Amino acid sequence: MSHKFNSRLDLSVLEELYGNDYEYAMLMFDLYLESIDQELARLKEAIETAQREMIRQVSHKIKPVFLMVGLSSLNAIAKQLESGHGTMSIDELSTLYGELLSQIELTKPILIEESKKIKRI
Amino acid sequence: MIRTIIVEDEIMARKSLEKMCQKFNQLELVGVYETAEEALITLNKDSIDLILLDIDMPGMSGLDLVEKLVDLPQVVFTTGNTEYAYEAYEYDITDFLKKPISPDRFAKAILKVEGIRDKRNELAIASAKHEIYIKSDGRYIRLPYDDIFYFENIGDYIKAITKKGSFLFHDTMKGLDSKITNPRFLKIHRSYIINMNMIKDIKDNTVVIDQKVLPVSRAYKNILLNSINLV
Repeated sequence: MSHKFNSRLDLSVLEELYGNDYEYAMLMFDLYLESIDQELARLKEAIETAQREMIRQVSHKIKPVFLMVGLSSLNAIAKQLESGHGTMSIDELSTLYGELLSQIELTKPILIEESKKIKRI
Repeated sequence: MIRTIIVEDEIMARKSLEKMCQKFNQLELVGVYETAEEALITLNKDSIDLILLDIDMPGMSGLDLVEKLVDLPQVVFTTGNTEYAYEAYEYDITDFLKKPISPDRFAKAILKVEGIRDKRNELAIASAKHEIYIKSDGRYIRLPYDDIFYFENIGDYIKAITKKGSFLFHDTMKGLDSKITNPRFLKIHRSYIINMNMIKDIKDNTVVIDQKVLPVSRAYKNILLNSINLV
């Protein structure tokens, strides 16, 4: 059985991580969909309360998670949050967070659809 | 089998490591922990060969955990940042994997783990021909077979009587017997294993070693007499 991932995802990363093991990819997509909102809530709270070390910890933690589901552009935003946690203003960090949040919401349907397609095969 | 634990607080990384471990028959996954504190409890009571260890965790970090371990198993660090690499390699670790970890890179790390395990086994086998190590008073003490007179069982402990003094260590006679590879060591009583090269004489149901008279059980007497060059 073969499956072609949605071209809006980073196909080279997905190929490197999962090869033809689509079940493994599906497991990761599902885990991402289950857990990302909770991580985002932690990040939001950290920014709102200006807990810079917490901003670093959460963005560090979610950074590779985005790559695991082929969302390289979100990985880049998480990197900026992590590297800027001590130097950027809270407003700037908040803006980055907003960008991250909107991209996550935009990409969720893609991952939900991918997971469904894999389940069917 | 390589007894392995995973220490990782992020769920996707944790599941990914579990999934990759399942593909290697030589890895026996004996524990998966979300915190270093939980893993430390296992590491202090169980024999673990390999830790797949995240560095950046809330509370105790992976580096803190390694710092606390007296007997360091092989460690493969997993992290999202390469900036930890320099500090991590200070601990004589086996490998350092940047997340997310590809199966190919994971396989290379396991190959390294196996190489180190094989090398250590060879060294241990070579060492076992000439000596044993015992843990006494928090130290590993090397006892060359040629220096040992006998071992005496005292409750939950064993006393090694040697040319360099006596050493008490925690073990059972059965456990010790299985670790001694030198054929000149013989159990002569439920409480004694002797170095036959140190026997001064044998009389009735006793042997004399290092001016001590040690009992020989009826069950072991024939084995003893068949093991000496009696003319």
